[in-house]
Amino acid sequence: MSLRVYRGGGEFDTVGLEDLLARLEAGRSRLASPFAPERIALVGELSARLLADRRIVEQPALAYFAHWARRGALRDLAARFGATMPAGTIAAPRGLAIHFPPRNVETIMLFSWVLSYLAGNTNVVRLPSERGTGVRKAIDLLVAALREAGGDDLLIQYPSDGVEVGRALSRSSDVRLVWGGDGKVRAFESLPLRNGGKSIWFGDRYSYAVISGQALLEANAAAISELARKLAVDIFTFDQMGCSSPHKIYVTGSVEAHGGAVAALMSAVGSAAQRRGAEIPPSHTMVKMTEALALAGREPGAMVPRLSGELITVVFPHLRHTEDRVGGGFIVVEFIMDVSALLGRVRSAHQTLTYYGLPKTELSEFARSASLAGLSRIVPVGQALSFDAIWDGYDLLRELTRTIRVGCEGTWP
Amino acid sequence: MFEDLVSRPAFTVPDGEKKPLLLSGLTDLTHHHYRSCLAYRNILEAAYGTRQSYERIEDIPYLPAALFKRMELSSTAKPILTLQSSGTTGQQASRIVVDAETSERQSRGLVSVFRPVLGAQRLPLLVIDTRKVITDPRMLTARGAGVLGMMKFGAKATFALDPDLNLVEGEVVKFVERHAGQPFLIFGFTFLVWLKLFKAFEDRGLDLRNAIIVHSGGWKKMEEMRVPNRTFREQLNGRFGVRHIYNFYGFVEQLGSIFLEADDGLLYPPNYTDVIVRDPVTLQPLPRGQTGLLQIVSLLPKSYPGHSILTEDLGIVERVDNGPIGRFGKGIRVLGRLPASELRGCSDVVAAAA
Repeated sequence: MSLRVYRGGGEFDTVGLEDLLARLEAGRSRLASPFAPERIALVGELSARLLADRRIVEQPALAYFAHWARRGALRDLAARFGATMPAGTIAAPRGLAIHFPPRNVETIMLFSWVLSYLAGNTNVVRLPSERGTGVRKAIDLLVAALREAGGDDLLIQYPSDGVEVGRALSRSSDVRLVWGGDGKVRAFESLPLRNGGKSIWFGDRYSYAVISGQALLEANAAAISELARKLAVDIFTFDQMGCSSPHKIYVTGSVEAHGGAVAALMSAVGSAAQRRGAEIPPSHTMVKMTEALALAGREPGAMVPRLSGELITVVFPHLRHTEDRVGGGFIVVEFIMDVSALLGRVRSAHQTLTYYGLPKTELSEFARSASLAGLSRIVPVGQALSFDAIWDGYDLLRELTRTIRVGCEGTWP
Repeated sequence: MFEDLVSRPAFTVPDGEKKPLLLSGLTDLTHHHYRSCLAYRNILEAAYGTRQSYERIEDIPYLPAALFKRMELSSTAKPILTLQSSGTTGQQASRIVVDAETSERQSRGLVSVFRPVLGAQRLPLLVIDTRKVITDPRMLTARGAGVLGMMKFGAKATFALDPDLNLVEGEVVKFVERHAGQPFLIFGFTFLVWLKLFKAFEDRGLDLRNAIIVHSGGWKKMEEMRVPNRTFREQLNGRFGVRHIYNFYGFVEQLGSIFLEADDGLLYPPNYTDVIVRDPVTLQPLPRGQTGLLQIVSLLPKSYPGHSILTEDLGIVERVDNGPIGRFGKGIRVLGRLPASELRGCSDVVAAAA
């Protein structure tokens, strides 16, 4: 079994498990305070180098990360973090953090590492086996910056049957972030952390959008085209397979009153996706066509306006019970009376609801009730994939640090 | 319409004459399935609209072949058996509902296609497969259906493979010796004929000068082994002296509507079947000579709405009406399957994988 540490430029060094654990143990004794200036500087510099690279900026997901990690944005993040500390407390890192990013949604790895690094932890990240060129470049910059700064963080790789490595690394770690769905969560659940440390789980999630039919009718051409562009970003980033990618769009209103506006919108989303260069392979177009016709065949009343193209839509005049998930540009539209019709449908595995045109009061009322059942993000259309330190119900910086009481306010009788 | 076309000598209807006959028959079938299959009706209303008539064969609604894996589509009240595609491991199999009438049409279709190359007499048949593939006729795989179909042309079938797909050499040698000097039929899936029969006797040879070999399917495996059709033919001819080798193209959703290889190396459909090539991205029909997805239309299927099926096979119409060799209709070449793709995703398929 080969356990390897990434050196940059596609090169790895093979290491023994004992050596690796010793290096991480040494790193664990050299933690930093949360938002230490030199760590902000290192991440900010990484962001600046990414933003200076045209090929990187052309990739929306990486451009988003680079933008998110600008030095100014990190200072804002630090300020917000500091502002939420209770009086008489300070924050401290947890220690050694191990990251298991998802195999394919590549930028998650970068966010996961940055947040924990800024929290002051020493980090070990298991590299995804497949990495696109943009992410490879970002990782190389990251490794180079760490080496320059004399950092202890390591990016490693080991074969998929390396349960023993996962067990040993978990036993050494104070905090573990497991991304990649229910199956992956189960695979790590039984592996204990050092002193019963903290696990942060990211299981399977389902996400959807709600659009006001009335707002669609009232929107002018420019507003519709902007809405279509944002929907295309939400739907086509990561082939619609991110945890927060919407698979369904609920429209308040009725087919009779709003069907035409919805059809025009969905066709505009298809065009926007084409302009963005969403490259859907033909075999997946066949999958989408098959799934669309299977849905239509089983339930009368469906409409499938197109059988090819970037976006295939199945429109139902009513609310249904199923969680359709095809991906790669496949949307089920269902008409509902108003957003409260969804209240009974929200489940704990539902993550992101994106919205357009809903009145503020209606939305906040819905959020209060719905959040009792599920949903961890309720954000405008266009922001489905906008990763943030608040994610999936976690305030990640809070989870990645310890809160230390300094001074005492209690009174003993 | 099917009656007319199936009873005329196979491959004798020129493309221009065939088109209007097929259009009329396919329109009737579209209406028949609309009336008889609720799911098909739902699909037509959702995706195609309902129409009394169609201007061109290209306008007839089509279903993707994979849909038969996702749901059972039946237009008959009296099913007698369900055909199943062999389906690669882990994949769902197609389920094709067949009643007595469609089963009879399938038999007549097969007869019309094979009569010209096999003659009217039933020939001794050597099947390069195991008897196991036909033991449960109610749940047939594509391979089993193929074997059963060919058994109708053979007298008393001999099976060359044991249940573990090992060649029983003694059976083969005995069969060949017993029938030396007269025509006999060998049928099997292409990769089985190659891997089991050819490989076993490659070195010591086998007298198959009187054999007619009919083979089909499994070209994915042949591609992996890098054995093109030409090599297959040349080697069987060179080592065993086989002069008559017929490849055919067909799939379980279109049983009985198979394309048979002609002397020009192209595959021709029977009189009641036609092919449309569509652009894999836009799904628009393509002109002759361009590569695309094969859509097969056939007047045969009545018990299930399979009269117009879009496959995931890529192919090309190379010529139309090859009069000098007596093959009319479209001559196609099948080029393989649309490459499969995998979407990325938050959820890791293999939990432990990185």
